[in-house]
Amino acid sequence: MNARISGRNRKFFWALLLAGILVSLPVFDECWAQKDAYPSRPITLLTGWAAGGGTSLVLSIITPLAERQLKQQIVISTKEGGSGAISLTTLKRAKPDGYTIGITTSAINVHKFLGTLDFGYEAFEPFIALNSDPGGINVKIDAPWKNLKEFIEHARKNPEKVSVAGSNPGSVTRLELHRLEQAAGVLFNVISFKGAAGPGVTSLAGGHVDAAIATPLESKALREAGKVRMLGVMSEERLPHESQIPTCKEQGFDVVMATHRVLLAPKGTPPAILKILHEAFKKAAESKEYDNFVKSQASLKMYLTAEQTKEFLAKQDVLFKEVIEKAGLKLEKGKKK
Amino acid sequence: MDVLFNAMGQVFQPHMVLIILLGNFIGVVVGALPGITGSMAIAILLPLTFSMSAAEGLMLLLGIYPGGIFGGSIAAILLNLPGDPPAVMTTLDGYPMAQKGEAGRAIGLSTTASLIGSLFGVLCLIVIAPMLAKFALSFGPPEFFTLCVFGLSSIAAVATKDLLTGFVACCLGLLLGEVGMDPVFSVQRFTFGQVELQSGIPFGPLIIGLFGLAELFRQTLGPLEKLELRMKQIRKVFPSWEDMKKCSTVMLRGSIIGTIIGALPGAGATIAAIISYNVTAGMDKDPKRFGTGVPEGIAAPESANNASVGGALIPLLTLGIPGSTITAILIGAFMVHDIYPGPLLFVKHLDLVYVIFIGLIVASFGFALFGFLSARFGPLVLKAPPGVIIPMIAIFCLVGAYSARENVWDIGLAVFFGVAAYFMGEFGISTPPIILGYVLGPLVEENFRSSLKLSGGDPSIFVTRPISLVCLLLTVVILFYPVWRKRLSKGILSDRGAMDKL
Repeated sequence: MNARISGRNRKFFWALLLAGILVSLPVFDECWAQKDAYPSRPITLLTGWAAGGGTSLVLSIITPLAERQLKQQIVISTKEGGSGAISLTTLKRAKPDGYTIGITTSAINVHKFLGTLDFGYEAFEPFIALNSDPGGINVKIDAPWKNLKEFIEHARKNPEKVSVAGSNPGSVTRLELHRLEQAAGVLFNVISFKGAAGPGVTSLAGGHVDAAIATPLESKALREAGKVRMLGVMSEERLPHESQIPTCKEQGFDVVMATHRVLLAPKGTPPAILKILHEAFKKAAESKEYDNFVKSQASLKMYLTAEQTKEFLAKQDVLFKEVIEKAGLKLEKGKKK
Repeated sequence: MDVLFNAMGQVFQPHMVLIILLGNFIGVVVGALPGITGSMAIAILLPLTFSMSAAEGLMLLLGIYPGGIFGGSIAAILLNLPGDPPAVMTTLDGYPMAQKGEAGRAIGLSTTASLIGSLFGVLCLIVIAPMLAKFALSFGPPEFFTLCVFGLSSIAAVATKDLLTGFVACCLGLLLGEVGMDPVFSVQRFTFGQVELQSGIPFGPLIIGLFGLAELFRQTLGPLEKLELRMKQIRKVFPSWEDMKKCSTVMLRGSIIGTIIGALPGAGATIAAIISYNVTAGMDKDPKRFGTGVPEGIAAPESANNASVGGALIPLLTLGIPGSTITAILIGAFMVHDIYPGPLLFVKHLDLVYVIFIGLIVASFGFALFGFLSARFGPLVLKAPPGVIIPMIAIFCLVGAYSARENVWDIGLAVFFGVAAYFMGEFGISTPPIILGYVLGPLVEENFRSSLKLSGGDPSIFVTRPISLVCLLLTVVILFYPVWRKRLSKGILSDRGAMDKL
């Protein structure tokens, strides 16, 4: 009995060992292939946002297109948690050889001012901007306010009484709401809904709150269903595919704010490699597939060169810092607990 | 009628049925594997459906959805390891039944309950969707708060052995749910400066540690003879007539609860299972039986969590509201084909709506097929020598803990909870109440604070809104029902023999 079992165990052991060697083969392969022209092996793309969300959808469309350009596989690795903080930290520590890159939303402009991370975009090499989702202020379809002005007027007469659903404090959509408060000089009774702005709009449709902040995508289904309508969108110009929605800016409230999606590489990645990556993703973003996708997501296409992206992120830093400071949120730049 | 036949013609094509069955298979497998859930599978496979037609893509994803929710119960029954969150309640009676050597009976029951729940949910989706959607929208923060309080009252049902230790465990769960950013001010709580804890303790590693790893420690450190399981009823995979008779009301009630709770935005399958178990155990003549492997304890949560699938699709299809993580992902599958769920869907794409209805019915029978197969062959896993099966489960657990967020840190977390739960078990503290607190605690807190913010600090908001008041009253009833029942029966029947007959 004993001998039989140990014999079986030995077989099991050899099978395991063989499997182990087989699994580790690609690692050796990596070492041998290193000297070839970039990219000679699969590229890992880090994301901090869960599969199924907006960021992951953008990636699922653009990476296959970029793969075609690079003639190399791009492996998406999700390191969820802390609104991208975990994936950004991982990316910062990664080897700057072009084989680990990452995506970020405007969260990168928020973390260092809230003190959740002690670094911002300067710790990376941003090489292209992909799209932007502006904020939007929504009310119930039968709400008495015809436009943003009337709504703000109502809020001014009833300070801290008008309830507005927003996502977690410190999230980009929540900061967009603060920006509107600051620009209009009013204070809302902001109700937090954990997670994305989706639950907030649902609560609006049920009539539990007076208004809700959400991106055009997040409110799209309920707008199509005739339950809510958007009073103003926070983009510079009207959305190309939904031009009936006025911007906040044209109604006299200087609020231009959105979450932007930018691709990054670790600091110190060779410029030649950054250029290859930029070109590949640029071509991918120019394709018709990406165009259609952005349209179906009620999102805004965006293209910036690496230099422009850096300048853009610097400007965004100024904007977000101002909003966060004025809103009285925690500011612990450079401080470590 | 034409549309109906047309849709049937579309669904019953061989490749469509195969797609649904493939979805079912993927769902059941990932559902059964710890750490990987049906919603993860849907999210990962979503981009794949972009190149399919809208109907094909949706059939694949809608096959995974109920399959995943059912699949969790297989591992819950066989290994005391809920494969995904909605199966947590199934461990309570499923695992004890399997330990008695009736794993096949347990999985068969779970399959039947899931099938009935799933069909009931779909039926409601077809027949009364607009009404239920309206009802679901009337749930605001105060209603959610009271519903979750009602859910928390099930601690009385879950902690059957000892109310005090159950209470302690539930408080521990509430504490675990506090970790991460607070919902109103984003203040970090109990994160110890760890970025990994900022968004809270992840569910996957927690249940893998509390259930899977703790059970493994118990088995390896405990006496060996416990592992020698008798496979008594392996051939009987379909539930006996007696079981069905016992569980028919439970399944029906579970299906109703599951459909309604599934339709509420933000609730979902796990809460449906908790509440169904709570109601069933609370209304039972002898709540103490629960937790020892009674068929009702399997039928109640399993019918409810699968009924929640049809329920969750109600606000999605009729209003375009994604009420859960899965439906939020599903909305992407519609939108990429330029189809927007909502009232217009029934005007513009009625054919697709019917395809979804029929597809869901096919998918229900599809996962049931895999369910009965796993009831027949699944228990064989327990026959394998412990020296082989235990390391393999350990590997599955650790890989599962990692894969939820692709984070090595989470493996440490799972091991930590495993060790903690092992010692808690040694001291007689059971783990399921921890999950109860962990799942419901954050919801209770968030909705309580939001409600008070809405009312301007006035607590009367909880009793002036009818649904919220009903939930509070139900909580009182379910808590005092056993006491009241005992007193009532004592008063009327002083004769002891007559009381036993009750």
